[in-house]
Amino acid sequence: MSTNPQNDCREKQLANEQPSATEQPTITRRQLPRLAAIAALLALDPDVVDPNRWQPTTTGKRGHGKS
Amino acid sequence: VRAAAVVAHLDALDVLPALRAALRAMTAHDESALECREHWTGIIPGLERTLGLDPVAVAPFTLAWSLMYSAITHLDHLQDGDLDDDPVFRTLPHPGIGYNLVFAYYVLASSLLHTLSDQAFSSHRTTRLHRLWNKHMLRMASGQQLDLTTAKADQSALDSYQLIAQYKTGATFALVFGGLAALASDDPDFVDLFADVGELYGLLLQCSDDLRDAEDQPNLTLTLPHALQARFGHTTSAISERFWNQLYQESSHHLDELVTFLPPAMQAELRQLFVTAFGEAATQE
Repeated sequence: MSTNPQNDCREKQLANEQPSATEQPTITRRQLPRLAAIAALLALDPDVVDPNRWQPTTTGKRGHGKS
Repeated sequence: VRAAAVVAHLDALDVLPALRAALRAMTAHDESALECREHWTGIIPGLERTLGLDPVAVAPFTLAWSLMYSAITHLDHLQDGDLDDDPVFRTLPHPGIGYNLVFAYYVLASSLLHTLSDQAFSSHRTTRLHRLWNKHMLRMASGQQLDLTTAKADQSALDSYQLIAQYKTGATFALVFGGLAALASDDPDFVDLFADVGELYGLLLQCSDDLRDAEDQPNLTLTLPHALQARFGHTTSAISERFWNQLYQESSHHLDELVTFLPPAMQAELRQLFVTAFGEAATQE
């Protein structure tokens, strides 16, 4: 606590103020899957490195976000 | 119904006739356009069910979000010079008018938030919602800024793409997930958790759209196929398919970790939103 009465008043004002309407952006708390790491994993796959070797898989589905 | 509510709100505002007419036209156009963008707005009813929210009570927010999403789509078209597919802006004498309309449209969208009922929601919740709105809109704009200033293909293209996708589309969906959670709960951790789930949803949506629409992507934007091309030196359907399968699999695990402490029924409903949008995750090969 400040010894200056004016500062005390200001501290009380700050404590009572509403939060700013433009809160600072913050970094997402949890790291989402990293695309570069996935690509690095795929780069170890010879089927991906050499497209001529690739055979279609039957597992999984592509995303269909749009109708 | 959506357009009628926006027009009723607009008619109560003090704007000159020319702008009012233009905003009415945009609203009418976008209501029909939104029906073709089910992958955007289709998430809202599912979230309302998951959170036990009354759709009528939260309509000012869901309308605001939908209108905002339309506004940034128009902005994309203006910035890319891609007006052929935008009937609202195609006939404008010059793009400057379009920028003013987008600005006004965005303000109109955000002003809908003020029509949330005081009886239905405490000022604490609506204040948090406003803060969340500004936070994620600034994040979205920073993603757009990076998108507009990033070289299309270099060795760090995947990292750049991730930032762009997370800050553009991710933040937009973080807002709708987190915003609805903010109207349903006073718990900031609960709100943050939903925002994180929304960001993951948005990232996946952007990646899946990019991979599926590889042939139609504008050259001005860094897309996932461009970034994969930069990384591997070539793009094939093999790379796209395996990349997506791996990404979705890891994202499904990430979602499981995020929702661990939620009630089981809520966990199941959130997982179902992802399955509805993206299908079942591939099994480990």
